[in-house]
Amino acid sequence: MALKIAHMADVHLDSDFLGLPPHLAAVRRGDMIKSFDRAIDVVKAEKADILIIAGDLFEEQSVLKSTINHISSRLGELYPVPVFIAPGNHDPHTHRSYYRICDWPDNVHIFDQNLYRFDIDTLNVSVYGKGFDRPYIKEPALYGFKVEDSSRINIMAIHGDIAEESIYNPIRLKDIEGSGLNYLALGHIHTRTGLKRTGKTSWCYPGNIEGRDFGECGPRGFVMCTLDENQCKLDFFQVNTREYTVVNIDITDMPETQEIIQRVERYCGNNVILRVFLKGVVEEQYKEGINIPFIVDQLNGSLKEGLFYVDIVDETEVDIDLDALAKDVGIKGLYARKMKQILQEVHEDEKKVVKEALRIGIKALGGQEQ
Amino acid sequence: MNIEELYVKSFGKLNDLRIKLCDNFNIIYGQNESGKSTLIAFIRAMLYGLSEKKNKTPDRIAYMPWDGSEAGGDMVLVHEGKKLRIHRTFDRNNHRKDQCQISDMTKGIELNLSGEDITGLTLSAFDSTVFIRQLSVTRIADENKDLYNKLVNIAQTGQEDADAGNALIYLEDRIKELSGRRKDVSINSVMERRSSLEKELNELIKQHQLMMEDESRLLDLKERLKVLEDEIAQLNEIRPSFMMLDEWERDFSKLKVEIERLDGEIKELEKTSLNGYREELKQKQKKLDDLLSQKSSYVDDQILKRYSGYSVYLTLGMVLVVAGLLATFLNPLFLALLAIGAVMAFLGYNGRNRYYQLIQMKQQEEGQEALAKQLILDIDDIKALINETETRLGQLRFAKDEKEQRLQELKKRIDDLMDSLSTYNIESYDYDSIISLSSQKIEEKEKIISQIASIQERWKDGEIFKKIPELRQEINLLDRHIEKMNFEYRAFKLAYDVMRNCLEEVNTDFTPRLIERAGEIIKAITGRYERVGIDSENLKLSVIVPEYSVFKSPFDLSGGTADQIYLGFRIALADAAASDKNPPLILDDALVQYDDERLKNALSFLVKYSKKRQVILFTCHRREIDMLEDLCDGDINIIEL
Repeated sequence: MALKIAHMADVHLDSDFLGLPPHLAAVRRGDMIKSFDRAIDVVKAEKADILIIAGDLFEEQSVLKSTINHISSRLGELYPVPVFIAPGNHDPHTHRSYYRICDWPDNVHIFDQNLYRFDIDTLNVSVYGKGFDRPYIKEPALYGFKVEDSSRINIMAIHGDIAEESIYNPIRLKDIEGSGLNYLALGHIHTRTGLKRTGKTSWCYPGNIEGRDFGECGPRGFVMCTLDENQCKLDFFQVNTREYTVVNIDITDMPETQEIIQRVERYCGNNVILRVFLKGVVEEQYKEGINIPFIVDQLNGSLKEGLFYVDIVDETEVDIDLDALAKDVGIKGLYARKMKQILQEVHEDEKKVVKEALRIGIKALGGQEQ
Repeated sequence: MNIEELYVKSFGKLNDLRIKLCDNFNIIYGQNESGKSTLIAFIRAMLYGLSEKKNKTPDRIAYMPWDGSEAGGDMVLVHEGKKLRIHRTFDRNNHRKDQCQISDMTKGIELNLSGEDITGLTLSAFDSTVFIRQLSVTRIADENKDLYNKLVNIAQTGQEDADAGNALIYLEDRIKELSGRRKDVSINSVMERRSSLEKELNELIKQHQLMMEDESRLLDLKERLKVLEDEIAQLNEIRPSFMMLDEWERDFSKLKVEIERLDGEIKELEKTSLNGYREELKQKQKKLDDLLSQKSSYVDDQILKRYSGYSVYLTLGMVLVVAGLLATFLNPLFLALLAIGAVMAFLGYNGRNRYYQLIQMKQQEEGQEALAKQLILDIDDIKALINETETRLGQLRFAKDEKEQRLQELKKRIDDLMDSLSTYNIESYDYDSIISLSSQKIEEKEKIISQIASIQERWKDGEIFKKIPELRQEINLLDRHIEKMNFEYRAFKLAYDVMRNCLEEVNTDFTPRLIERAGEIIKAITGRYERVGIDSENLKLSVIVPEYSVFKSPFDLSGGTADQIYLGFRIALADAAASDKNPPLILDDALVQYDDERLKNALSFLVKYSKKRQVILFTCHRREIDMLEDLCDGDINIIEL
């Protein structure tokens, strides 16, 4: 009989959403809880045998008690399906953690810093797990670990970094290889890895269930791992409430504002949190004329239709033919020559500043700011 | 370089137009709308092509042939002693489809050259030096201030449209703004805002930690409360037993006391009373026995009677003695009387003594008899007392026994209760300490309840922590803003520093020579103003007016004079900029403002100047041609469109 393990991680309930203005924090907080609820609904509907939450379920520094009460009761609804939580670096199992303080339902098992094994005899499964008890752990988490009874299905829930060295519970591939585990349910990396295999052990980072910033684009959710004698199958269930999208829009052709708006609107899907980088090479005057607040204002229509938020960043470069400019007579030429010289001398990181200085200087000399 | 020939195959309104130019002075005359501007544009396009910018097509649109044919033409020129032909065609829409061939006409080979290579100037440099447009001149004529600015710019920066003073002010203003203290504008103010938010954030995080600690304490308190409640309930449960135990124990000791008292009483009775009575009885009995055994002598009353008269003998004897004594004195014979009295007294005395003895014996006998009677009475009394005491003792012993039995029973009950209480873990079996323990626990319980309540009250608004993510987001936005501002600051600072540097360099190296050269030309054109100066303090340009021998700003001069000064600067600039390639000077109606006198001066300067550099003057006025014909005896190339 195949074993169905629902595996999620890095929910980060009540965390912040960097990149969004503060007034949207509350809405996003609610989104996160909605996504979590959806995940629990799916776990129920799919009749998973076990739910594993591989750490960073909530943000220790800012989590509300009401949130804890909510998730606690939602997890309780899964009874008798056992839930295993392996606390992570953002929700370490300390003396004053809600993991200790709260009265969790009977089917919820929370691992502490000591490796522990739960046996579920009806499923012939042993679930190992270990949690953070502080924000940083440098010792290799699986060093010397070996399953005790290889006739059972052995799985482990743990939060950490697949790496030789890390301050977040380093998990070394060679230790995975020697572990004898059938499935290693990981958390910490917010991007889904898909099913990986090291030795006989299958492992996976499911990613987070809701993006938290523009670095976490695309669909988010959790995975369902179906294990039988010699197979491991992974299915992804998308549960995110909103989706971060980052696009580059090239406006080298210097379109009218309305045209820019139309181009942005193509990405204004339902529940999208959009960041647009305006790219390309344009003329100084055109760049000066790009009115981002106006464009955002015009896109408000889209916001009403379901787009959640749009952020537009002008990253266009100004078309400055430095070589030609350097041949100019008078101060512009001289300025350009000096800048060209500096540009060749500075470190790569400084080049942006020099280019901007070049643009500003030429603009200033152009006398447009009179 | 010199341009020798232009062939406009098709460009704007012009087509199939061939113009030959000489190496020196060329004047191209055409009335308005004759295609003069188009021809100038054609020269520019031949050298540099048409704008490549996708969005900016006005040139391309403006100069596409009206009949729809392909635009293009040829230019023949001398470049570094070689005769070159530039052949270009222009696509209506796409600059990529434009074609350009530059070939060496003598060798018949194609060369890989650009317009820039040929003129030695970029298009922009070309526009700002050797190509003096009509537009620039007329606009200057309209607005002296604008012209003045251009002149100052040229004198300062070598570029009429580059205002170094303003540029520096602009850069400096922004630097000051960023590094100043103005709210929301300066980096500092934003940083301050950020740090105040961070403080607020840290405070909230600390509060959250405190809350978690309190929650953790709450858990301990609740556990303690539960224990206490159990303990109190237990104490309440066992309290009656202890109360009973206490009572029993009190009864127990009371009984014990009573028993002791009884015991004492019994012992007292036994030891002192009963034994005393018995001893007394024994003595009295013995005394009685003794008395009864002594009863031997008996005095008869007859004998007693016999001896009762002897006291008379004694008395008589005594009297005779006394009388004999007295009579002896009278007669010694009376001695005999004395002797008879003495014998008589002696006999009387003995008889009386015997009587008394018998009387005493009789009395003694009677006393003993009474004593015995008394003794028998006493003995009876004592016997009664002993009987009474023994009865009392029996009663006491019974009472003691009964109490001892009760004591045993009580002891057993106490032991049984203690046994049953020993299952509770109680240190002391003292009722009072149980009571005080119980009240202690109740007190502690109440304290814990109030502690719990106060913790719950303190953190009842858990929602304040919603602000933590909000603050983090706001700080993050500010960080991005600060980063942008810092970036801007660094860019502006660099721009400013470099700009200053450039300005200094231009002022020490470039402009003095430019001004000197411009002065020469201006003098030649005007015949009056000989020197041009620049007031570096106030960035003011002045010219010396010999009549008044003062410096005058061109702003105060007439439009015509300003024009001349401008032309002087432009030509000086062309000389300064133009490389060894020596491109032609092209003037587009640059002399319209001049009066005849000045026009003559200017033209003769230009004719002279054209010996060194090819000059192409476009004009829409005939008077220039007329004047030139007078001036040069036909040594010039006049072209009419």
